[in-house]
Amino acid sequence: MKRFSCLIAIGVVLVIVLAIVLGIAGSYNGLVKKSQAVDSQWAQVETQYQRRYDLIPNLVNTAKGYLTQEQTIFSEITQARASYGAAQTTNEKAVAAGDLETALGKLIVIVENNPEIKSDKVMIGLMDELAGTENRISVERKRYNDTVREYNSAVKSFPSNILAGMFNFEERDYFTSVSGADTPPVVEF
Amino acid sequence: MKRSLSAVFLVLVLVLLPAWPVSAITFPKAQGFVSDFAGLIAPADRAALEDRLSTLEKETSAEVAVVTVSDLGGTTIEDYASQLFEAWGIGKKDQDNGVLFIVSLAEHKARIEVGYGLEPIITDARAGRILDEKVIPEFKNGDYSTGILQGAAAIEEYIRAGTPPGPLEDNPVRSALGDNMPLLTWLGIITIYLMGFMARSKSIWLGGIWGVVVGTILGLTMGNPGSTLLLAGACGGLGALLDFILSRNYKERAGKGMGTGWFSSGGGFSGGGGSFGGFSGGSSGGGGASRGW
Repeated sequence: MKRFSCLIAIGVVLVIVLAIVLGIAGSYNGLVKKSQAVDSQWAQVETQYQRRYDLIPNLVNTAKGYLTQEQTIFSEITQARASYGAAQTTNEKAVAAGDLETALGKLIVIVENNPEIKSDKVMIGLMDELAGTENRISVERKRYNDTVREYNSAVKSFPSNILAGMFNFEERDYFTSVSGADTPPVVEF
Repeated sequence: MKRSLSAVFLVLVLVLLPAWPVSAITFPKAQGFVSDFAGLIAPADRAALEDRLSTLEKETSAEVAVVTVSDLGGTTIEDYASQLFEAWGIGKKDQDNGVLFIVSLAEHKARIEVGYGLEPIITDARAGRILDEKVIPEFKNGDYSTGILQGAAAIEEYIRAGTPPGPLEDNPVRSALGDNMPLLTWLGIITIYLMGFMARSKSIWLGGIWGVVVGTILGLTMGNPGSTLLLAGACGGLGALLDFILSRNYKERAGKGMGTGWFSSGGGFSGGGGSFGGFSGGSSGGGGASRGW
């Protein structure tokens, strides 16, 4: 009988140890997975930035034909595009993308106020592509922030915060739009 | 002693509860390929459209959802559409070949939201042109039914011309269970196999330990440490109980069939009635176009 209860004790300890070890492994793997989800979601955002980058020359060339007296906006867009192309780090890219957004926003207002260019079929298509791209960017950014939120709450909440501290899982930054990107641009005629 | 234990347990449950992401809008269930929540489509047109979209799905595997709502609950149509698309999962999961054609009456907005997989076929410019040429003119005359029918027909035309990849070869049970199907099957088979030993042996350790293993594996697939520990503990207890019952009843019942229910409850199946079996988990990334009228 005594031997039996000894076996029971060993069994209980084994089960508890197994559960803890597997729990820790699962928690660590969960953190790694969430961290990688954040990276891959940011890649999605940059894919859409690239799509916009590729779209601009076509858009600018078509719009230029109509808007001969509006050369400043085109040089602004071209410059912002160039600085996005030159950007290396994630931060630089985010800033350059913000500038590009502001410049494109101005172009959209100009086009909407110009009945002639607004009714051009090619231009309508290009503006749809631009609007679609901007919407894709905002969708992917929102999802990026969702994955960051999930990751950060795992890093901060018990018990995974203990592991996060041990293995240097740091909190990630949310995407916040560059100041001026949300406010509608003012265009003077 | 007992009370303090249950208090500790309660605290553990509260602390370890997974934090689910909260979606801003709650969406109704899809009525079919056509969900006319705002009542804009004539009954005959609706039946015909449902039929066409069902056939389109069978022949090309692309899923087109036509939805009318009375209002957007204060958000933009782009935001509403991308959230609804995500909530319903329009399109096949690994092809993302879904399209959401949504009309909101109060705001006078219409949008065609295109799944990732169909973006090369229904470009933003094409989506805009469909709305401009087939939908909005009819809407301006107040003929919603015709506008929606023509818009859906144009979407169908593009999909058929682009011919997305053919029907999937995997079976519906598999897709309902997702990637856990083989895992659950194996756990179930091993459990049935082990139950023979559990019944014959007097001890209850085999059941308990196997329960902890199953609980831990299931918990790990959820990727949450809290649920892993809880499931490991709960399944351990259940396994020990199962073993206990099996061992006690072995002589009388020869251990047949008893208790098989405890592991099969992990599935959470949902079955759709009729010909519409629900959408299949596709996603979109904000592609498409919107118009007002």
